[in-house]
Amino acid sequence: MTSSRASDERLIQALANSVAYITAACGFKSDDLAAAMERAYQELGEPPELEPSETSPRPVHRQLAKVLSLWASSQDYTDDLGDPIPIPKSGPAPSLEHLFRQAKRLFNESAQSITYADAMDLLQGHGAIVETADGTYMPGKTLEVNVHPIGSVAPFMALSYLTEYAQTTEHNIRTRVEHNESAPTYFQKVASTENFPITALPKIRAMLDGEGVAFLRQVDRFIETAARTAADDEKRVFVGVGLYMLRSDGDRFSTSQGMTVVSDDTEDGE
Amino acid sequence: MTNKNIEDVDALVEALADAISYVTASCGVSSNKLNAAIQRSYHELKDDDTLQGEKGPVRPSHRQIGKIVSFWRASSVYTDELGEPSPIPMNGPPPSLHHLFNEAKAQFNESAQTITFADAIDILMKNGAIQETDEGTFVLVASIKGAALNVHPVGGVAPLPLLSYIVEFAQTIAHNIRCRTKYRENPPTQFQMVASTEKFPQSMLPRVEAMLDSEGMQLLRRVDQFIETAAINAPEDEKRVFVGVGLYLLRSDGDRFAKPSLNEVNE
Repeated sequence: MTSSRASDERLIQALANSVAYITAACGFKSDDLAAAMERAYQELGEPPELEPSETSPRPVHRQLAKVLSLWASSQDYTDDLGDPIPIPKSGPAPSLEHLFRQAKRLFNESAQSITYADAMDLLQGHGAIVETADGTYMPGKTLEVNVHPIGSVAPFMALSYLTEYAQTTEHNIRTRVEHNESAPTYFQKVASTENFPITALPKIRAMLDGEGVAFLRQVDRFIETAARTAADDEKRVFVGVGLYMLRSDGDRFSTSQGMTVVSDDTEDGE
Repeated sequence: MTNKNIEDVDALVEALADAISYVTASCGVSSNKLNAAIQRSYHELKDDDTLQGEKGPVRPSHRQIGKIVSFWRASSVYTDELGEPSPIPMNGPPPSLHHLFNEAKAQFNESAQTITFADAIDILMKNGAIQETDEGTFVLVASIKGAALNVHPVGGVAPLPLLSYIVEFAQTIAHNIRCRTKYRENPPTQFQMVASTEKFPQSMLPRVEAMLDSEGMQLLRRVDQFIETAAINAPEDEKRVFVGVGLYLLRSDGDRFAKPSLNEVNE
């Protein structure tokens, strides 16, 4: 078994553990869920056609985002106003090469690391960095921080986000079941309405693209600065903050609910 | 429990299975592999005495309670010149809690079991979301997290509503992957983003939680006010849809995809 296959197996088992716990807490038996899964797989028919690279567990997007986060949060790479400064591709600090080496120290050690050359190719290819007239580089308009849109990353990454969300939910149920109402849970909150006017959808999306991303950038800057400036011998943990939008046009839990609406309806377009 | 309620709960698990199977199939995971993993997990859970869940009805009472509070904050009849919720009596013509409940009730999901006015007031009082003043009116207590608006702490509600949150989250991910496979360029995905690090110093965890409790809550309150105001003010004949915005913390002390340690649960 290759290391990436092992990672794949662990991720699936972790998702299964959380889903089993959550559904068992709601009174379901294993056969209920297994039968539902079997039906769902049968109805799915042919799996979606994806590029082989898209099913890879390499956490490339997180590593690329880390490089850009460091650029946005490090004192050596920002100006007096805290904005990222233009930097050359190679050479001593500040440079992209040096920035990459520093970011690499923050990568998950158990994950396969992207190479510097591949990172530069991908960052330029995604428009995440752009070359200026004088040959230096600046962050581009996309992937500006360690805030990556899940829809734009490979399905395997999306699966890890789903697993992480399931783990947060499982943790919160465990806390409630095994302890008491006042035991500390992980932050997990939702604001929702069943009666949102369809014509106002672009406004809520704009709100998330504006205020939502601004908040996540603030979080990102804080967690990256903390990660970089803490003492070397301090215990480190994984921390993430996620923001997402839910939407459904009809019955939220039917098999044909709003998630399949991917046609050219203007209110959902970007 | 009525048959309809059973159907609702089962629909939730069917929807979860649909979304998860789509996401895992996209990653090349076979149904056999996923089902085997689920069976293993269930097998390990079978001796867990703390798990005594019953397949009960989906009673979205927390969402309905949240709706009442949201309405109080968003409606011009129930707020002062500064937009702050006004003190109101329990009964009588508007503005009153009873009238507020009836107005909010019109916004409840019609297919869901509706909470009664008495139960709603009981829950609001017990959660400290409302308080009686010396004059006998009631005020909304803004400092109560979650209960003070239509932003409910997922950890503070029963497992069944939690199941619906994970279904919705999985549906959003499945939707975004579908868009990615159908529209290679500029897919019309739902907003879904994460900021994360594997190297966060443990001693600073309270500061991230504080950030979510203050700035995160402020963001959700603005979202809540916006969506509720839009729901109230739109023409009655306009098509309505379900919309939600969720904010959550991910955390793991060691191997992120290992089973949670007891220490982590017991903190």
